[in-house]
Amino acid sequence: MYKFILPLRFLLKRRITYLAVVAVALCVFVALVVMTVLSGLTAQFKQKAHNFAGDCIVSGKSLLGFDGYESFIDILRQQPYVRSVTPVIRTSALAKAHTPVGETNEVPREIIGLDPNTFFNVTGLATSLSWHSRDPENAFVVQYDPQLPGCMSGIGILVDRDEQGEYHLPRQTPLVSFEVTVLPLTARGSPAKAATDLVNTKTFWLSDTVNSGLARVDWSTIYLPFDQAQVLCGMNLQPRRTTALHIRFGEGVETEAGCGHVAKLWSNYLSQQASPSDLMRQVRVQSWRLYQREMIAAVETEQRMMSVIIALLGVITVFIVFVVFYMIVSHKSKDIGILKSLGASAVDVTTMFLNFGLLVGALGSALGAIAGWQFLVHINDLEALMLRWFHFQLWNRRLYAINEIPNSIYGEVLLAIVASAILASVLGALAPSIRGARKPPMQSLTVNRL
Amino acid sequence: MLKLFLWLRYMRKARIVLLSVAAVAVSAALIIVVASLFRGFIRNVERHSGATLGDVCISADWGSPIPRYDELIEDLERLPSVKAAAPAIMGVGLVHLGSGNVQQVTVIGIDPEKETHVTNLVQSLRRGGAASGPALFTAVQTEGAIPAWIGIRAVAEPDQVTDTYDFVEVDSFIGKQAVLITGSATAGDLSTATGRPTIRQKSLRLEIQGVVHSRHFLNDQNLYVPIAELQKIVYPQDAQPVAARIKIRLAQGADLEAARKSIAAVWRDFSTRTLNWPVAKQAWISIVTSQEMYADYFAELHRQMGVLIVIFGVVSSVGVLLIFCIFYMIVMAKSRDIGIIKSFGASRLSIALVFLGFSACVGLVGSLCGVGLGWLVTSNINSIEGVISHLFGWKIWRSSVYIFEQMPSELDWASICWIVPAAILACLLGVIIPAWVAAKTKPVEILRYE
Repeated sequence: MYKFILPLRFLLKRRITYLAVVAVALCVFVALVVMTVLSGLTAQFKQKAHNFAGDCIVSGKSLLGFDGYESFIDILRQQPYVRSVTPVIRTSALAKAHTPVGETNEVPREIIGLDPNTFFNVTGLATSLSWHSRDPENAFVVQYDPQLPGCMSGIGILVDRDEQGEYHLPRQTPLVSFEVTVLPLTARGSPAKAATDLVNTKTFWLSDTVNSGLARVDWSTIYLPFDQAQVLCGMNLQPRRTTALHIRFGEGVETEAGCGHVAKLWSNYLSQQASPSDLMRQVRVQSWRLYQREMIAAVETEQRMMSVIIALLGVITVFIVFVVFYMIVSHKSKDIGILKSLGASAVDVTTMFLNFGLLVGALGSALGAIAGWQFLVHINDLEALMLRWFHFQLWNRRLYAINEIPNSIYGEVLLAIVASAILASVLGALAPSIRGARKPPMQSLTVNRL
Repeated sequence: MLKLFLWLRYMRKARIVLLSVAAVAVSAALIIVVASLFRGFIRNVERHSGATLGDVCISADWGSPIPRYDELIEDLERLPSVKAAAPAIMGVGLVHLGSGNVQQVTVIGIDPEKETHVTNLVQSLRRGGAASGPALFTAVQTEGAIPAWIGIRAVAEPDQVTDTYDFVEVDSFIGKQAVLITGSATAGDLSTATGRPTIRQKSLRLEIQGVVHSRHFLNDQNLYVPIAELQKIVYPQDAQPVAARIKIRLAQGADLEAARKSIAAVWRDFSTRTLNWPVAKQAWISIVTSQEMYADYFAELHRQMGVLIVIFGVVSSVGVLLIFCIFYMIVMAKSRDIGIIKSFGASRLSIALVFLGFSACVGLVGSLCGVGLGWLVTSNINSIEGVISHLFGWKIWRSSVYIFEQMPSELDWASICWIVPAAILACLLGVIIPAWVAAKTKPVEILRYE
């Protein structure tokens, strides 16, 4: 029983212990705040990337795409694990915007050709539309003249974010058109219009904007109807081609397992073809993570680096607890001597101090976690205040595609931090505890020591 | 003298002090590495913009191009503060480099002979094994083609793990044909207000004569062609040579602001007397230093560096707690020494100064060790990163994310100038309470027999 009562007594009576508690609390606070924000940003980014691409992507190796996709879509639609599938064309283009006040310079743009009837079932972008979020299948219908060929643009092409990170769009679709120029390619990769002027150019009128939350996408992408993009890219000639198929799996289907099924399905499909083209042989089946690995790897690396630095905090905590316990054990040598002379073993004394370390770790973690939680709850209000008073923002919303600072605490992050803090406290207490426990009672209870 | 003696003695005898020295060293090294990396990155961006744009730039990006630029360059080169000047025209385009390989590029028209004296473009040019002599565009092998240099990123992707290029593949593009699609002004379409032409597409056959590897991710996507050839497409209405930018390299030791003023005076004189431009038209031309062109970007980088250093400062502040604990322990352990010194007549202030001076020594030694550690890590950062990539398979630094191929490895002495005093101050802060406790010690209580 004394193994539990004494640690509690030490904690209440020895004021130096508060220091160890404060140190643990501070470390937990810093680790919780930094890791929550960073994990939140990473998770947000991944969620946006997942929303944008769907679960699985079947894609060609180059801009040439691949043929035979229509029959494969039919096969995919029959699979119970596939909820929806959509063909997508991606290419590079030059585009020039025409507005009522004039025209802009020609700039390079990414083009995505999509079928609105299926694309929004695969991706999570329907709610990000500005004017057709309730009827995304009509996303290419131009409000003021439905006969005009419509297009969507990344929202950043049209308007800039304000300092709160908001885009302000008019209620009605503005009178903006984009003159899009694409270099169509044959299935062999050579320019399809080599005999003439090489390019296909067509004007599309803005029907909506897409706010994917991915800066690189929202500031450079123009979305065209799939069939129009196919014509512009020269992919409409038999056999028709697409750049990729994006797939959304049904509820409960694990992404990697689903991708494995699709890969096998494609392999079977390929073997059934009498003479599959080279483009079909080059097709890859990838999960959304693998497909966008370069983008995702960058944010994951930053998170990993920060985790390593936060781990240094744990090391400092170990040392602080070590020093505090060293002092306590030194001062309590007489108590240890008495305990041991009453029959307590070295293991009992060690256990007692380790319990004390555990208590310090638990209390410090609890205080740090509560402080961190409160700070995170108010982090956006604090940032708003700093913006109002000092014109300071942690991340400039005009430049970074971040809305609110993420402040939802992840259970696993909290658990890992608290467990690490308690472990660090116990580790820090270990050496002084063993040193104290090994001291013979005779040494600490001799008259000249009293 | 007694204080100095005690500092040195405690430093040598109290081994626990080494822990506080280590804590200060690690914290200081951490902040030094972060500050050096960030500052090095900013310096690299600044250096690179200076190396690619010259020191000062006369820019007509938003207005009519500058005609008769060769005469203007002659006038500018007469200034003692100007070493050389070179013209440039910019455009955007799509380049078809082979089967299914279409890339977005920024097309830049240059005069290689003049460019050599202003920018480092020629130094970063790969011309294949057989090429010798000055780096100039040479006669083409194919009739109707124009010579071109292309950025390395347009022709190859860096390896996913090592982030390096396959130079055999890169060099295989030298001598190859390519097709460029770019905007061209159509006859009779010159608009009135700003003199901007209406753009139509035009294709050009290219012969790749070199690959530019500037080690700057964004600039490695450019395509360089002779300025006269690009002018025929971008500004076909102008019979005389025109340039959108005049890049100016200043003479060694020239004062930037004074040089800019003289350049502005030369430009005013040239545009008024030689070109007969009205003042309103002159206003479209800007004369900026290369640093001013990216001022907003640099400001944001500095802000982010500040935020990061504050975070690491908070992380390091836990070290103050450790120092407090260690010094408190030392004060407790040395209470008899304090009693003896006080009984010999030492004042409270002297006792406090013993510990304050001692902590300043710890701070100084710790921060100097931190500088050494920081220097070791910073100067070997690329090797360390290579080892981590090799061992764990994840690349921390990617040129596609951080623009440059190498991590900055120069120690930032400006940061060291404030980090060392800050570390000493933190140590003094951590020792205030223990020093006060020591000063308050009554010798009669400590030294009595009981």
